[in-house]
Amino acid sequence: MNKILLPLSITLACSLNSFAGEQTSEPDKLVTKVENRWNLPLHTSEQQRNLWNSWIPYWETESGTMPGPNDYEQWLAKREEKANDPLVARFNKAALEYADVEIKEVYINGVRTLEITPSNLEHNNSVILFSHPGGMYAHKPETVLTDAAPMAMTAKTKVISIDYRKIPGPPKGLKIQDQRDDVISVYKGVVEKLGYKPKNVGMYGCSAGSVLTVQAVNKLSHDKYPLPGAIAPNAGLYDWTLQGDTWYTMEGKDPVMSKPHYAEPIIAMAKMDPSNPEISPALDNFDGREWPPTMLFVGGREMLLSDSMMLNQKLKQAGHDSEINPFDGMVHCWNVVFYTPEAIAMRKQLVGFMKEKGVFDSEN
Amino acid sequence: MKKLILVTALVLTISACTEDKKTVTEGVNLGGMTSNGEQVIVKQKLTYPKFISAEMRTVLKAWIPYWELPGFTGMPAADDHDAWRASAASKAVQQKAASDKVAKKFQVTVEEKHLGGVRVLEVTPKNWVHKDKVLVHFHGGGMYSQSPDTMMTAYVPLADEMNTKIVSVDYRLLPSWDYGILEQIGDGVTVFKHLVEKQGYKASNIGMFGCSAGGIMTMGVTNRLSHEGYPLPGAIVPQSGMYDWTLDSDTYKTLDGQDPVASTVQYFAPIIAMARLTEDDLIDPSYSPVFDTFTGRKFPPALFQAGGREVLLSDSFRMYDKLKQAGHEAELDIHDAMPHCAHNVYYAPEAKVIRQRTADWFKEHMDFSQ
Repeated sequence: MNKILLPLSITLACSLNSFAGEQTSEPDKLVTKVENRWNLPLHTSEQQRNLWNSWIPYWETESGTMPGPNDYEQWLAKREEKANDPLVARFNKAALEYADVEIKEVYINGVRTLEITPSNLEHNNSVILFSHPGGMYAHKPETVLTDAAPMAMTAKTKVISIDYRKIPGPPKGLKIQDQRDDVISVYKGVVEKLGYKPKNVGMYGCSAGSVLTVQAVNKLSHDKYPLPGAIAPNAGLYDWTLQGDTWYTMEGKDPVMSKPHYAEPIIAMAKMDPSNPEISPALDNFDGREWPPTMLFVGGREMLLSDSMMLNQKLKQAGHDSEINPFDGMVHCWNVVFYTPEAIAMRKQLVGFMKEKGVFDSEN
Repeated sequence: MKKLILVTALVLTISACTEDKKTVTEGVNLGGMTSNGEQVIVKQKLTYPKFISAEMRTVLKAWIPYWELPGFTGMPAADDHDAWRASAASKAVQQKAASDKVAKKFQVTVEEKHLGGVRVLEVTPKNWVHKDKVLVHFHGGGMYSQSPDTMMTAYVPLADEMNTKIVSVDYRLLPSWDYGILEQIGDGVTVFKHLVEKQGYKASNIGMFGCSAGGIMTMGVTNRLSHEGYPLPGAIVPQSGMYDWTLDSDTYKTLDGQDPVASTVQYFAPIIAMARLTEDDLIDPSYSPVFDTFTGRKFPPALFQAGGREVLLSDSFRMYDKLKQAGHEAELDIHDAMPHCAHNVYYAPEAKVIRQRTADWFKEHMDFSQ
């Protein structure tokens, strides 16, 4: 339990005390001892604060060192370890109690997916494609039902969660472009084989999933392939050269993300040119081509905040329909804590946005 | 990959709360966190991303936050009104030269007027096209400093860009024993009503904007008009305003020390103390509109602009969210790595983009075809 150090309305000068952490006699151990370490604002829900305020970052735990760029086996082991994390299992089990969905494994154009059908299915002619988070190397649809299953219920729409292949493999040497192409294959399969109209397809993701969503749509746009009705990526990395300002300003303030301890090892392992616009869409030129209506979700307490700002400005500059929707005080992929008001609000807003853009419009 | 230069962390003590004596603590940046129950602010030598333009970079690199200036011992004491006025006077002198220069550069006609008893500067662009429209501007300056005369960098370029007249309101300034923030907002309301009732502008042909204190004024005036059921402006662009005076927004903590222009601890806290706001005031929606209810009444389309490198950033997140959830048209326009009111560096490419967005918003929501 976090300790709330001040009531809402105490005088201002003293309210600065809310920045204070717990007292400790070992200042060097401060980082792990402070109960209210991350000090999320009081307007955020108690559940979010309870979970994150005393969160120990991954890289401070015993298994928190990321493998080296060429440690293929170790990356696979790390992936396995994440998949078997008991906390992840607990959350996913709870998500399936929370959301009444039916789950079926389906291969679309050779790519494995989980088709998540909500019990309250209403929009039979629409579908939402979800690309899961996991730093490009980890997780699978089964371990991020926390996101996709409640979303299916909120949207009253089938969600297809894409099990894109993970770098560095198998097969060994797999590239980010291959992961992106998995997402594209599913989109094309949904349009060409399952018969959904592109405008009735919504796409979203979180973190790595948003990276792939935007990269995939960018490729489709360059290729002049019919685009989805709307996309709503949450907290993607859109500039892999890490120029975004919050990589600097938020270091040490984001409980789940770190430049040296998380982003850089993954970038080193991925072995690509970060300035390639295929990889970093924020560096691409969006003039004179189609782009679907976009809502960029992002947490206000995360190092990836800038990337959404950059992409939003880039899209706006080119005259596209884009909006940024940051959630104040929320950490990276906060919505996996699916039962909190902020997660519910995010789902509602995402679905509202897709509805406004016609994803659920049906001629029948 | 570009490596950011490692920052050296300095630690300052803050003695905002007299009952807790603070001591200096060495440490790394922990987001304003403390050890030993002590309050510290960690200041860094600021580093900016490579994509910032040469013009903006020159300004930012040369910018020494005033609280780092040698001899700075803190903002004036809350009730030392003379000291506040002296501080305001010295700030005004610094801004006046730039202000005069921008008026000359854009060849605007500046006329002093009194609307409903409130002094304004009416700025007419050299190519005045949209004669049935007017934009009302509220200047920044922490509610205690600056004036339309000293802050022309914030609005003259927009008058030129939009070929539209701008009325910049010289609302009363703090400190005062007789009036407060609500009366300052009242001055803005007076000007707006005068334009509608005495000068015959259609309310929907009036746009409103302003940065910092001007953002507070823009939201405050619009919100009051909305509560009164008075005809509303066609569109508003509140820029980097404070909308939660309890300072319970995340970037007051996470970005404090990163914004060279405004600081939670060094700037806003003393101003709030000087404004003599009570605990009840801080959570009163007429001061802090994030606590207001926006459903069941009208509100004009609002574009919230802010810099990605400023402590007021998340107030804009929350205000945008609040309006949007109430079903109003609202959008966020945030610019990575930009400090507080970056468009005041009016000639920088980043300022031009910000200004373009401001203009686009007014054009999108008010009919500028004639």
